[in-house]
Amino acid sequence: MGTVSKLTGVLATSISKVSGVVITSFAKIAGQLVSLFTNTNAVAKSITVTDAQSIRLHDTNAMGVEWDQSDDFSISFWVKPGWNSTHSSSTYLFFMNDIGGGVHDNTIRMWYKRSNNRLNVDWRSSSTAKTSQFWLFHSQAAAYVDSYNAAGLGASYWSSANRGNVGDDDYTMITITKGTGTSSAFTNLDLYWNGTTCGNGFYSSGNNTGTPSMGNNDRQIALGSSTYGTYNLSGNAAETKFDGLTMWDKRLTAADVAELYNSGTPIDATTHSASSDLKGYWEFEANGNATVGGEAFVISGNSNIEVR
Amino acid sequence: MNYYIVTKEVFENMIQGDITFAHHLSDTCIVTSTEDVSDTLHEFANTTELANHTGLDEWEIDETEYLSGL
Repeated sequence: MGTVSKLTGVLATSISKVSGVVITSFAKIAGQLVSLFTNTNAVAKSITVTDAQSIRLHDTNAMGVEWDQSDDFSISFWVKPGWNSTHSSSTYLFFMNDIGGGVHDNTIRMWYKRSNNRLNVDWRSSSTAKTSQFWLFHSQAAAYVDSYNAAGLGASYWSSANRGNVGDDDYTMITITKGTGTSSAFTNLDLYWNGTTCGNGFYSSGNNTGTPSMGNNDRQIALGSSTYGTYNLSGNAAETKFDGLTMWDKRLTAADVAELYNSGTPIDATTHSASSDLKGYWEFEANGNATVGGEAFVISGNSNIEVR
Repeated sequence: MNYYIVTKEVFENMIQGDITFAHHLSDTCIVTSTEDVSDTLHEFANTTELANHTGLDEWEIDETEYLSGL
């Protein structure tokens, strides 16, 4: 049987519901198992710095992710570390700031520092108006046991040889969810490892210098590096892979995150129950084009789309 | 504040409560501390000099909380 392109004369580009029920993964047609959502590829970040090796985009269409310090939002992606245990530096997982700006210019970022096994989050509008938070994963002390259990790394640090709790293909889904407060106080910012909360961040009120005063202009975004200068802080031994970047204009609930995690198998995020708040979605299947948001990542140098 | 690169052995004998930043390398440690240490490999005047020499970012040195034992 050939490819079905029309149903009762109407062009069929996708099937998302059957008899009113949302279909997110597999279904059968005439007894044959068919996949309605495929996720076979990811984007691999070169271990070399410079913009010519980056995964980056310039947001030019006000897609709805130009958040300021008072906005609630969530950012989620799947990551498969390529750095090894000798990596003494940091790796930016996600970086967003003003187009042409530096580290202090309306920045929202996440980075993992392997030398102290901390995942850091901050946002800032200047060097004197910033807030940051972090979680660490290798201590079973009461203050850190939630992140210890969520990550499953044990006493060793996160690396390609110790990926901890993972979903399909050894990917971990990392999600931050922010409320409408301006600081990174642990009541205003959550980190999830896969579908599990990492508990309170280190700073009860956030690590604050002044109060960020961010604009809502278009942003530049990078995965696996900063967005400016030498696009530094990538990995070391092997490429780190990213998949399924989603950006939400709401603070996702724990149930929302669990739905997105889907027991470790990525879903089509457009079918998520909170999809009305999904402002950016990149599947990284054939290219870096957005499924939601209309903006495309430029993937250059040795960074490329690969099999997961 | 003092800005040093020291051996692991020297680092382990520094006053933990005085350390504000530490970055471990394979056999040395980049450290900032209010303690005066004489047995250093390198000493720097400020964060900028330390960052230029080590390749770390100034913001990272200034903002990374040091936790003894963690």
